[in-house]
Amino acid sequence: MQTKARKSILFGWRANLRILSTAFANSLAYRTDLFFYRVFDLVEPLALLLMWSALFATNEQLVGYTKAEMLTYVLASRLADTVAISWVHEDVATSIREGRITQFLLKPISHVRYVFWDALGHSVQAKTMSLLVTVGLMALFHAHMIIGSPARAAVALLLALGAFMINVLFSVSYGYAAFWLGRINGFVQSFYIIRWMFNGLAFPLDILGQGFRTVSLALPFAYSAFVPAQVYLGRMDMTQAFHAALVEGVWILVLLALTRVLWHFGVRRYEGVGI
Amino acid sequence: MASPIISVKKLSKTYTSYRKQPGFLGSVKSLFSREKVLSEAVKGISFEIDKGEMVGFLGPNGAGKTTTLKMLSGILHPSGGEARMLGYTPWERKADFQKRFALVMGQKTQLWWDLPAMESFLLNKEIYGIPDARFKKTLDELTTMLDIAKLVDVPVRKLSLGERMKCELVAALLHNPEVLLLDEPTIGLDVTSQLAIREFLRRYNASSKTTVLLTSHYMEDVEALCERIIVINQGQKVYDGDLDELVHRTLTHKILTVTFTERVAKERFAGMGDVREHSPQRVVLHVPREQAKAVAARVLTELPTDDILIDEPPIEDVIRRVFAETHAS
Repeated sequence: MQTKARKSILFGWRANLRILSTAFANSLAYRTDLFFYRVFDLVEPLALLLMWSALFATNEQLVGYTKAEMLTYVLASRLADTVAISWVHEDVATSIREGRITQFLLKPISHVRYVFWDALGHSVQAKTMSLLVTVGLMALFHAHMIIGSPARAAVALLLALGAFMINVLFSVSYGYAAFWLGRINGFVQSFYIIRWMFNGLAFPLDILGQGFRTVSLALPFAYSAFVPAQVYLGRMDMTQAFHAALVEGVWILVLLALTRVLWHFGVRRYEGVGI
Repeated sequence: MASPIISVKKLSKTYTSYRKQPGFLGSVKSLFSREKVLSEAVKGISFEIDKGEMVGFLGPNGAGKTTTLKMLSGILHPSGGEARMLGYTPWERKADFQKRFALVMGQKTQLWWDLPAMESFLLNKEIYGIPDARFKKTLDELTTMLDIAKLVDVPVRKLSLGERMKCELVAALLHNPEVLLLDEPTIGLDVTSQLAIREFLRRYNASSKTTVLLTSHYMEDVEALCERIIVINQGQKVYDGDLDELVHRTLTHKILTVTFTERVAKERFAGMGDVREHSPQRVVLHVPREQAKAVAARVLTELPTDDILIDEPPIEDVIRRVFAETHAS
């Protein structure tokens, strides 16, 4: 019995790694296109760095941040979000609309599990390239960067990985909305603007006051950018980081349950069109 | 007596859709109220299939063939009735059940489009938990039988439709399914590829004793592969039995299409059969089945023939007749 269980786990991990490596290979099929995505990685943080640099030209401190803290925050939050971001909803929704999700009703593998490893495999190159661009910007602005301790950097990275799980599950959940809505573009746009408001990528969430910060920390979005950046900067201590990890864990469990419920009821409505 | 591998009882499926009036006003109106339309795709069909059988599932577009296959493979929940396949209720989608059957759809791919087919095979190996040695043995056998050993490392998007379908079959059969559901596996293929797929399926069924349920628009597929056929029309079963019996009972004639090197008057075809179409250098004749060879020989010897084609009536004709007979009875 134990041998059977061990074999099952072994096959499970081999399947995960195979999904990851296949998705990675697929992501490299159109290499030139990868280059153009990097323009976005460069321009947005550069604009923020220049804007904050201009604002700090005549101020030692703004909204509770020094210039070094703010510029480091911009890039640290960008780095964390690069690790955490996931855009699988469109693929999930399209596969429902076009009938491609049928494969997951036929094969002995959970769709969420497949999507998670597939998303990881597909995003390895994008995440690596984005990291290189951000590290390049860090080098460019090195005179204004605060170098956090390796322990803080490691904890920030783990929190960003937890946020990646949250983002994949969230993304799958609103991808599943296509079982009911067909197209989800409007739904996703309204959702993404909320995410943008609360994730801390555009500005540090605490500059809008304690109340806004508290609400943001109860939502799952801040764990993609704001929280890892704060941990890296030392503005959140290890106890707060541990608390953040617990909140992430709760969100992961909630979203896992949500994806199961949506899948259960969604596939009952599914008609496998186009086959 | 062994119980059937597939057992279907009064299975039905009703689709829901919404009707929208055309034009701008219709679009605005549909934002506030939509007319619900119920469409019965399958209406209480029942049948059983035994282990090792190869059964043709025939019917015109919209007859309910694919919907039935979707319910048998667990893609769709039925609106009513029961189905058991390999002892499981398909739409419960148990992993043990999914490891024992495969569905191949001629119009859908399960292969990664931008990668060589081998990547998809390896992915299926892990998903189905196929041990290394068994995977290698099965892959070697299948690629040899289908003659695609050299193609498995070419990106799928570079393959022809026929080559892709062969790879689809390999991907579907790697886990040695006991039941194979085939939905239009030869659709869109050229004659050579159709023949290759048919020959493979015939040999595979003979050697593995896999139970096969095949839907196709091509009468040739079913004639070459299936002794038994189930005909459905408008969601209802209208025939279940021996193919030869149905063909001889229903297809009383063959179609001869002849082109000539010079003009031939219509009167020259007197006594050869029923002239359905005629132009100076072309004729379409409906000839009783048993006289088809003799009439073809007469045409060739007596008339300035450029080309002659002897064909079966289209599958729709067969089904229409079976359906009409069923209604009449």
